[in-house]
Amino acid sequence: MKQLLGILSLALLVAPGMAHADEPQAGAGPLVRAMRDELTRSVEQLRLPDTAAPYYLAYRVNDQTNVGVSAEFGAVVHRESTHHRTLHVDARVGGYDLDSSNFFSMSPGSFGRDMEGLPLDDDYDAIRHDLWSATDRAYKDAAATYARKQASLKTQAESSDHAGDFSREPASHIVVRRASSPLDLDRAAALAKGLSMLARTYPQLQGSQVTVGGMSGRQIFVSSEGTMTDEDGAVVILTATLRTQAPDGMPLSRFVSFSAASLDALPTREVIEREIGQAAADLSQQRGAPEAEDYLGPVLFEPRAAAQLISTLLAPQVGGAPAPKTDSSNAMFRSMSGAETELAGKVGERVMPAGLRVEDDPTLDRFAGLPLVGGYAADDEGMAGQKVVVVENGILKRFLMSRAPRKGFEHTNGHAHVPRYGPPKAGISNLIVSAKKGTSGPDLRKALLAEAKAAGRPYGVIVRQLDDAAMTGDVTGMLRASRGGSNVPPPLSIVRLMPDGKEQPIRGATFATLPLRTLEDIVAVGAEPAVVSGYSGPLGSVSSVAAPALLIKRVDLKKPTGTQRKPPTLAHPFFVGRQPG
Amino acid sequence: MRAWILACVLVGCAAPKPAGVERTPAQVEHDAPKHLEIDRTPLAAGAAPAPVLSAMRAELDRSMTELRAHGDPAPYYAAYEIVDRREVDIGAEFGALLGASDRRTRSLDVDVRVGDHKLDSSHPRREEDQFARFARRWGKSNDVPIEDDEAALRAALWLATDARYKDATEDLVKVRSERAIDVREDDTSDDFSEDSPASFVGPPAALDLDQPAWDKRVRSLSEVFRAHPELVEAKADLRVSAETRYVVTSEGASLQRGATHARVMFSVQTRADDGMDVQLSDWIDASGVARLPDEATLRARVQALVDRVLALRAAPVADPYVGPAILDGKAAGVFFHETFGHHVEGHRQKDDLQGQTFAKKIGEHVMPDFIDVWDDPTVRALNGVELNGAYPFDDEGIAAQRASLVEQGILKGFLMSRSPARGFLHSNGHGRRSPGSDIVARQANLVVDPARVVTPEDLKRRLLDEVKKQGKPYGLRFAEVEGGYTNTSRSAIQAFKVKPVVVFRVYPDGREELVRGVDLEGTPLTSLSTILAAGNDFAVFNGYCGAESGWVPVTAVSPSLLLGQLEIAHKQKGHDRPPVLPPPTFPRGTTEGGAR
Repeated sequence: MKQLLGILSLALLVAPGMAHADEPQAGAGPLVRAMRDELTRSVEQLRLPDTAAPYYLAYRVNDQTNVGVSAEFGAVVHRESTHHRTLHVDARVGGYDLDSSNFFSMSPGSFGRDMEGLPLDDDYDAIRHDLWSATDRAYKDAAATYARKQASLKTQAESSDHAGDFSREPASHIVVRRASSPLDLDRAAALAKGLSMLARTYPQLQGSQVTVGGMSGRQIFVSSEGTMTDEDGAVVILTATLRTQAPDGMPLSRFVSFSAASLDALPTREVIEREIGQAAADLSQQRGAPEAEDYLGPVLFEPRAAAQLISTLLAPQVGGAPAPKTDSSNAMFRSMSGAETELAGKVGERVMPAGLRVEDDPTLDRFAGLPLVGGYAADDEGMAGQKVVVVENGILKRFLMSRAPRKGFEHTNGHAHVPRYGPPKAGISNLIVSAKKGTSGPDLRKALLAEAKAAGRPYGVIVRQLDDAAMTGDVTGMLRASRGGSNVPPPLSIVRLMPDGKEQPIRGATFATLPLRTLEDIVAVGAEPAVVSGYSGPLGSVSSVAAPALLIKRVDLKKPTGTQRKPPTLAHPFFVGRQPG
Repeated sequence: MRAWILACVLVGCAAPKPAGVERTPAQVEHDAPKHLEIDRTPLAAGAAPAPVLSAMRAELDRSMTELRAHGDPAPYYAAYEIVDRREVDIGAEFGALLGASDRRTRSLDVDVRVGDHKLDSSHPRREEDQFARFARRWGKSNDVPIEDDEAALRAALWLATDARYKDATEDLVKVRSERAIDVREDDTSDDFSEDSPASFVGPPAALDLDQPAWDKRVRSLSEVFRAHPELVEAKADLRVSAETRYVVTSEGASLQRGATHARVMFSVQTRADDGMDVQLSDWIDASGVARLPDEATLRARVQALVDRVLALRAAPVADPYVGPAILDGKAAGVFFHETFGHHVEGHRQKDDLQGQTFAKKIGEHVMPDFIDVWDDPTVRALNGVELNGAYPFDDEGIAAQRASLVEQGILKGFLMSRSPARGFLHSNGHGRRSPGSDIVARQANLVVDPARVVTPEDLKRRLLDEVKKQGKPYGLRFAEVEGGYTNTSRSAIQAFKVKPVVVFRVYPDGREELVRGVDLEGTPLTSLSTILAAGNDFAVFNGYCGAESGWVPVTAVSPSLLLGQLEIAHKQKGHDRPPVLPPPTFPRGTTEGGAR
């Protein structure tokens, strides 16, 4: 939770050029004045004797409060609130066609530097001093990287695909003030504690962690091109993770998660408790369920699992920023520098069945009545976030772009996300999958059974939830999944749908690797979407993915392998000699 | 590779002034008075057991009763340790607050042993490489509720006990099968000593901090830096903690002990004209904010640090050198911590993966015969300076004891946890860890205590004599080091490295010249054997030491030492240039005294 992306919390207007916002000195606080003044001085004077001056310079400052609480079995385990300001400097040497960016090498600073800390006090001089030293480092890094890049390019064949390194864009002025207040730590703790107390009514559970994490803050961006953005926002994510073991020792878990712009915007306590209760009941039932068998056939991903699947398979591929060049032949190093999207070269081609549409819209804060938390007015390069239709009627139309251009997509559409380390990436904000014609729930089940019959399977499979290590914090689960060699996390909630329409829970299934083209095998799409939100990427930003149920014709599921540790030898101390109500 | 970084930091306690006796060159060989005032005030007991201690006892008793009756195999020992810690950090630079954090955690470690004292599940396994030893404990520390809710605490204890019991059961099978096929280890000591942990219930630690006042003070201290915008980084930090350790063992011990700590730290960084980064820090540790020096004293320390770093920035770069050198007290403390202290940690004497530098040297000369070395966690303060490494009981519940390590240059003993080594069957209360690690023997308050000491002036004269004798153009004096590390593993060279930051050339005429860019390395036995003399200026070095059982607070105490031979190398230097633009200057009139 190190990074703030402006999160739309209320449906307030994005106001390009809002009155007074772009008046440099009048009304600007010490922080903004320091940013502008050091930027101006650097642009005018910063230059090494034998190197070009930076042709572009930008500062991004995040002033952010993070709050996190967790509770287990009715008591608070963690409770933390931090407030910090971080600075990110983008200094570029060269020109728009060829500059110091998009290049990874072993030279210092080529990976980017960690965010710099800035004072919290609005002390103009202290802030400016930090800006000065950070700018100096960033410029020298850029100069060194540019020299290496030029040397490297001399030995490499000219690429006909080169579309430049940095797109030319008009300056933007975006100021968004939202009525958001920092998350109340006491209220968050009381909520987590109260919800985790529910575990005392479920003797079968071994663990029941409830976390409430939130951030609120402000992102300010200024650049030598005259761009100025200033936006604030907030997000809260509540997650309850329930764990148990089957009698043979197999670990089982479920989570429920809610996101909103504030504690008050979360669903009511009753709704959350009902979902936790449902998950606990499902989990109890799954303890006695049979183990999964190997299965190759149709799988119906219910909306939540479908959104998780899209988030795993498709979301990482819709960014169009080209892979950075490198002068290293080391394979591991090359892979670290970032891969090209698997969808490269597929524009104009079918990637999903006709009727399906995929779009990303940072300007939305709600979809089909469900909250989206990935939105912003300005992206991490100060550019206005725009709605982008990526797939239309099953055909790939375009990519989400930052200012790193690609042939055919020479301009940004406001999807730059700057990770803690490294260059900006183009990525999702609120990714929405929808269909022209949705199929009702009962009809989807019929379609599943029909597909199963056609494939010669005695039953169909419904997946309701996939594991999500970022939610459950289940590192061992993550390892388990990676050992299984699959790119898709294992299903936590999975049932067989028998020909008579009855459901039978199963456990222990894992996916074989699912290629991206799995999405071409979608044979039916539901009508009601679900939204999953969370942090994407290792130090990622908050994003949301909305999708309806997806029926996929052929999915390869594997039965569990290996042995498990037995359930605890002793009974749960709380339930010894106690008959839960 | 087990190269433990010792991020030990120096306390800048002023060395006590040597007795003001005028000496003539003829008196060079005479001893000076030794001043070593030791405070062993015991900790107050007599508090009530906290709810967390009661919950631990209840769940441990239930677990042992049930597992002894039904477990196959049954555990013969189990212990819980919960470390309840609250830590507040306040940082500032150039007169502006950087942020503050306030963190509270309760971390649980569960130890379960199956087998018996002779051979149990903790026995080191050869098949297991060092990384695997780490990996199996990684992430096993459990955060448990910070609230005193017995049901929630016991639920957490229950799951952790079960996991550790199963680990131990699996480990014992592997230990036994490996023993069946493998040659016997050289040292066949038991795995766990027969010792009696104490019971002690002291008051839990409480954090007492006037945060607004300290926000203001830390901010104000950092204002000193405003007069020196050429500093690239310049920070003032306060870290205050209150830590209560709770230990219960199946042998019946129950311990509850609280400790508070405060550290003020100043760190500055600038860049020399040749591109070398020059960094310096100064630290002051105390047992609470109330025992930190007053603001005027702290401000003077900041100013002194700034003056030193600016002098260092302008100093010439050191040349590689082999020859005589003086280590000032704090530097000598770090030197001993690295070259000697780590090598006398008990578990290293029998672990076949270890270099075992001193394992078979008990009764032998390991350093000149005028030197004693001991480690005593019960010393709370020395010459009026509080020691970081003080504690009354270790993490195995064993009462801390003075361990005599070297007497008259002869190796006498080791630092012991409950893991016995040949000839050393009992713990001397040095079993330590930070949460999430297995307990091993660690240093606490290591004291280099020479029988004969001379004044610093005499020590310098001895240095100059050596310089002449060895035909060197100059000698060296190491005034400050920021830490060091040492390797004890058999698979790599048995070497240490100390990172000196303030080093002087001492010319035959007595003139001293500051140099920068020095690294100090060597091998322990060689280096220790070249100690020629010691000063009477005992200095206290308070720091933190990182090793396989985590980070623990430590102290090293030593007077300045004259070594006949030390070797220095060039430090790796950055290739950056100094900043291109001058720093934006701080307007005059906004500093409060810091400019002068």
